[in-house]
Amino acid sequence: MGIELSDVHQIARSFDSLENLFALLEEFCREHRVGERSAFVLQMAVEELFTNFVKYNDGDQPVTFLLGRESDRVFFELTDHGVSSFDPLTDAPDPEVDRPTEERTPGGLGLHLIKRMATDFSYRYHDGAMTVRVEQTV
Amino acid sequence: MEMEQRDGVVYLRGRFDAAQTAQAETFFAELEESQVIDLSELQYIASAGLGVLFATQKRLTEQGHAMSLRNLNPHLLELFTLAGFDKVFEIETNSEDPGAR
Repeated sequence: MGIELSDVHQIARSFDSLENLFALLEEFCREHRVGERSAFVLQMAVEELFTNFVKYNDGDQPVTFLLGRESDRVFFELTDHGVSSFDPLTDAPDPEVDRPTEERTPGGLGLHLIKRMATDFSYRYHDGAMTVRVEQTV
Repeated sequence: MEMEQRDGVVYLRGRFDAAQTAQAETFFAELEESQVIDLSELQYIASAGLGVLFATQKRLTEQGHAMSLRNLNPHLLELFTLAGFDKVFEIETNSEDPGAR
């Protein structure tokens, strides 16, 4: 069984691009009959990872966005070009989800949620381009 | 996202994504008393939205008030629980909902 890939979309580095990202994802999920929870997790993961790129990365080129399917799994990849390496799986602090309100700071929550909710979450870095990939069972 | 305050209940409707943060911060900054937040028509939220709710809860708690949440769909409930927000907010579960277990 082969891998099916979407076109590579160029996404401007701005929060205003979220609407476009969600629209691409929604259409893809409909086409592939992705279940409600998986669609929710993919949206959340796209938002968290894309907004992290916009907020923290030093790149000035558009982010590329790709969707795909392999067997019973769907996935997306977001790639930021011309940036330093940052591995969200190991370099981000874990949030303090067990602490009382007055002692908590909300940092790191998005990545924590992806790690806990996604079927698979991976990261790679090559030649100044960092790619994050999230897979979800259909 | 639509936000409405009526009879001591705040209704959030639609999608609470990062692009909604600025208008949501303005809305929540005006809340003074304890509030029930009804999420029956909220389809989506991620950490940016959670951050606004968290900051508001922190402020209200320091003033002796609190927000409680009700009518979360199953995905929202899972996300709030994984975020540890079941310890930050009182979350009412709706036992009359025929879909609830």
